Amino acid sequence: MIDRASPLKSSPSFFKKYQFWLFLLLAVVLRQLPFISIPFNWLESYFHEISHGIAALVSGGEILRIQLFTNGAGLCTTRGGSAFLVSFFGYAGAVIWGTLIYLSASYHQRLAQAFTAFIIILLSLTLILWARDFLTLFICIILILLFLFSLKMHNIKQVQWFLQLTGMTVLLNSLHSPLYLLDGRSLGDGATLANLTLIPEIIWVLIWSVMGLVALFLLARKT
Amino acid sequence: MQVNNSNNFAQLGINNVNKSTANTSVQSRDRVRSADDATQNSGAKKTTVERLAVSEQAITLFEQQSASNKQFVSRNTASLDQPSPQNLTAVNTYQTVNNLAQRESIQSMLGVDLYA
Repeated sequence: MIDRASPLKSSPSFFKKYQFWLFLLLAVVLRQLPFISIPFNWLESYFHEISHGIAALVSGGEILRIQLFTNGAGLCTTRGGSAFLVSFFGYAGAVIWGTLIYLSASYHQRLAQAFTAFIIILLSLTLILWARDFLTLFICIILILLFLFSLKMHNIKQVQWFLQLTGMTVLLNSLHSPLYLLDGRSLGDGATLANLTLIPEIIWVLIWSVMGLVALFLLARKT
Repeated sequence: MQVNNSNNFAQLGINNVNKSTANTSVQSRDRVRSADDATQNSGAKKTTVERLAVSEQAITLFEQQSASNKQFVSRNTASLDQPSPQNLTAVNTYQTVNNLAQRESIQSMLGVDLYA
């Protein structure tokens, strides 16, 4: 029989009930911290660029190079493929990655471990195949070490929490990043899509923002 | 010219008596000068004519020599610097490979998309 008055018994259920909001709050705080937020910014940038690359590969193109910068910026050089898909899946891909990471971590501890291993493999492939400069190599190595460190945690629950926090941070960053496009300079993925489709850049920014909000809403309902 | 004239005026001012003789001497001097000039001009013409004749000959000789030299040099260089057919084939193959690499790098540069 469960003693509902006992705080030890009630704390897991409280955490489980409000874990989404706790992780959201933690991710918001994490984004404001000066040094700790840096690898998470790199991670969001990496998922953005790799999404461009995967879209290029899926649509018949190839990735020539991926560049990551310390300020959280990134570049993906591709050849061939659908320009529309490649442009669109930068921000959209980051939203999808964030959602998948958070969902897999919330679903099961073993799945969280498997997904962490998958991210390490993806980062290693990027390191070998598409990183051409020392800065990108350095950032990729740091990110690999970060996930390796999380895999080496004794308590498997901590791996799950780390991945949930990572997923939430990626999702929050991907929700925030498209807003940088609204600078009136007509640069970036929004401007490329606007040139391709004649739909204004702001519409694309809105679509990406709505995608992020919908993902957050679905995660809030599901977990 | 000005110096000569002032001397003449000074002479005229001092020696009024010898005015006519001075004038005649000036005139005679001018005649002598003009005669000298005429002889000098004719001499110069002669020398220039002679010099031109000499230089034309020299030019034609020089041209002939330079032409023969050129033929000689070209024959020599053609025979000395001519690579063997094997070397020519090797150089051509090397350049083809080099061009292929360049072509590939240019092709890789073209059609590349950059996404930030």
